[in-house]
Parts: sequence; structure tokens; C-alpha cells
Amino acid sequence: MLMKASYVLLSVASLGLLTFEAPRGALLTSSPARGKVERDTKETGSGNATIRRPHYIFLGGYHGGK
Amino acid sequence: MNQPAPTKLFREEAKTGAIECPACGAPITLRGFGGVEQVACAYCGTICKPEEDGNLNILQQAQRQRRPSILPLHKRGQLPDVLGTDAVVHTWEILGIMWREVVSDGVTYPWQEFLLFNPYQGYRWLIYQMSDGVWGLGGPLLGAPELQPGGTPTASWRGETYKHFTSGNARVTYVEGEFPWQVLVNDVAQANDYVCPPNMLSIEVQHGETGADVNFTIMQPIEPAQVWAAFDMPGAAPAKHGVHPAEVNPHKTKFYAVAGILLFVVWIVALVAYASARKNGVVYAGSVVPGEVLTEEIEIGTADQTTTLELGLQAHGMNNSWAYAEVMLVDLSSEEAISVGLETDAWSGVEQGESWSEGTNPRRVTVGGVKGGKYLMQVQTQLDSSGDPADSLTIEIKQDVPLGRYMFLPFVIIALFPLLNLGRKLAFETKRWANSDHATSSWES
Repeated sequence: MLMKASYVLLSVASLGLLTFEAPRGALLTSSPARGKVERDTKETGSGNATIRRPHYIFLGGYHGGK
Repeated sequence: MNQPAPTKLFREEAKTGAIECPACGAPITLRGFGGVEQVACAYCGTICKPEEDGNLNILQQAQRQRRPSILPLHKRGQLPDVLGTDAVVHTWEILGIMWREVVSDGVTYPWQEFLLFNPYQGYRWLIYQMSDGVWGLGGPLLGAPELQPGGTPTASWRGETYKHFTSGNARVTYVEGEFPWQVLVNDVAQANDYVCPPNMLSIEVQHGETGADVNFTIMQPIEPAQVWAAFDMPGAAPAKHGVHPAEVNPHKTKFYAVAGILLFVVWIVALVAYASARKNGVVYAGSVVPGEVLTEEIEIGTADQTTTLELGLQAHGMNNSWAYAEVMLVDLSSEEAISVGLETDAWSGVEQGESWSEGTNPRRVTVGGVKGGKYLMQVQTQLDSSGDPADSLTIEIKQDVPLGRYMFLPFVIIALFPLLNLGRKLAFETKRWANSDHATSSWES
């Protein structure tokens, strides 16, 4: 009985994922790194690289706190 | 003139007075009324036949010690009638105990048979398989099945087809108590069992001086705990670690077939709806000069909705080297960004005369939960200077892509459980038929 209930539950849940969650794709995909960026105001590029403006530097995830 | 006494059609009415065993002198009480054909002394095992004058005539002198059976003689218990159509329980008394065994491929399979008696219901059998703790409850078959010989013989009874299970010579090794027929130690009967769960037909043929005696018995499995409770036995019943030949397969069900088909249809509908609604549109496709930073404003999806992105990096003219691109999508309104790293590589060579190549080029990464809106895309690249570095790099970003993992996860679950159940069902049948004469035909059931 438990197996039958699990079967129905998991099947319905996976069909629900396909119908409602798949367009967003937030659960079964790799999550990109998210975080704040900071505008790079330095005039020179690094090495010989050509940098177009505006240029942003990714600061990473957590920037809260004090 | 003395006239011969008239032949009695029936035995004299049962007498309740104690009778002594003619061999050891132990008291014997006949409880089977007029139907007792023989009684085996519970103390010394001497088998006697009650005569019409009330005395006991020795049929087989005791040659054994008393064996402790799993249920004691004359114990009473409450059990349903295996022949009945309702679940009414009756009181049964263990009138006789018989130990029998068959030898198959050099292995002995012993069991204990308990003759149950109820004055209104008659005789029934309770059978305990000593090798695996399996119990069965049986009674006389009210008729005779039709046997159909063949590769796998079958028997037909009341519209049901019973498959042949085992045949063997069952030898009596121990007798105790009363029986409505004569049974002696070392009596041998050919036993043929046919199964159609939850019933089993047992056809026993015993050849004697006056011909063959054929007995038909119908049997059903019964749980050890039910027997133990019925006879109010102390403790727990010996563990059962086998399968009764007529045990109903607990995994035999139509549920998974019906539910599986329904869910499969729903999955197909949901799959078509999902796949046809995906735009799978290219947001950006262009090349990046290695070493330069690419900055481009792009628009993803619609505002306030989240979508999926597939980011791809392909390196051209690269061998034994790698290229890396960090794609950053900056939300200018909040100055927050998502960052995705893409690494592509290509390696090849010749080893022991055989060429080989490996690596991932192009590299594709899918991310989800990306909010729609305008982004500033910034791509920074790195190249491996060893080997043949890439001449150019191509970046492609697609939005609202169909994801196979979402599409096929339901199918895996919908198919997995029925397959699991099928495996368990076949494993049960394999275990059931392992003790039969047709161990290889277990898959047919």
C-alpha cells in the first residue's frame, strides 16, 4: 500500500514539475553564482586586454551584515 | 440352535470409558466417536485397531520413542473451515499426529500433519512444513479433479486450472493418536500436488493389497501466527522462511498496469504541452576575440517571469588546450548579477599507434530561474597558452529552452515502480517454484 501511494505521489509530483516548474527550470538545473557587482572605474585594462566600458567586477554572493 | 449374529451395519455407540494400551498399559481415550479405525498410543507409539467388543488389537508394535510435535495431541483450537465459504470459525481438536517426509535429490523434506476433528464439520488437516516453517490447512475435496497430462501436467477443478507442483513418495515416519483410517509407520503414498493460489490440490495414491487408495485434499496456506493464536500456544510461532506453494503472490496486482497506463497518457499530454510552449529562442550569438572583454546589452524573456537559459561556448582551431569564458549577466537596475563559467577543452594524440581525442567542445550549461528583463552581458575569456590555443570563441545564449530532465523524470518514475513490482513478483514466484519439480518454469506464472 505504501509503495502504491508513493508511486502515485511521486508520479503526480513529477508531472507537476513538468507542467508548472519546468518553464522556470529553477529546481533541476545548476544554479548560477549570484551576487553584487561593482563598476570598474580604472582606466587601464589588465595586460593587453581591450576593455569596453562600462566594465563590472563580480563581487560574489553575500554582501550584507554590518 | 445357535443362529449367527446379524452383521452390524454401524459400529457400536462410542464408549467413554478408558481403554488401556495393550503394549504399555497407558490409558487411551477414543475421541473420534465411531469413525476411529486405529489409534496410536501417545506414550509408546503402539498402533492398535479398536474392535467392536471395545478391546484394542495391536496392528504395529511400538518401535520408537515419543516425538514432541509442534502442537500437542488433543489440543483444541479455533480455526476457520477451509472448505467453508464464510469466515466462521469452528473448534477443532487434534485427534492424530503424523510425521511424514519425502526425499528429493537426496534432501529430506519432513512435515507434521495434524488431524483436526469437529463432530459437526468432520476431519481437516493442519500441515506444518518443518524445513521452512510454512503452514497449510486442508480438507477432503468434495469430488475429483480432472487431470490433464502434458509437459507440465495440470488438474482442473471447478473451472480452475491447477499447475503441477511436485510429485514424490511420502513416507510415514511417526504416528500418534487416532485416525479414521489405518496408517502405519513406513507407509508410503505417492503424493502429487497441484497449485492454483490460494488453493492447492493434493492427490495421494497408496497401493495396498486390495488395490489403490486415492485421496483428494484441498489445502490453503495459513499464517503461523494464526495457528499459534488459534491453539493458544505460548510464545511466538516458529519463524516462517519459505513460501507455501499456494500462497497468493502479494505483488500480483493490476494497479500498476492501470495506473501506469493512465499516468503515461497524462505524461504524453504534459510533454507535448510543455515542449510546444518552449520558444527556445537565441538571445545572443556572436564571437569573442580571445583576451578581450565583450559587453553587450541583451533582453531575456519578459519582465516578472523567470526562464531557463542555455549558454554555450565553442572554441575554434583549438587542440590540446582549453578556453574559459565567464559570462556575467548584470541587472543594471539592481547592480546584481549572475555569473556562469564555461570551460571548453580539446585533447588528442597518438598512443601505441592509435589516435585518440577527448574533451568537450562546445560546452553547454543550462541555468534556470533567471528573471526576465534587460541585462548587460559581460564576457571575459581566458585561454591556455600551451598546445594550439583557440583562434576564436563563439558564445551562444538561448532562452526558454526545453529541459530533458523535466521531460523524462516523470517517465522514469512512471516506469520504475511497475518494473520494481514486476521484479518483486517474479522473485516471489521464483521462490515459490524453487521447491517444485518445475523450478525453471517460475517465469511463466
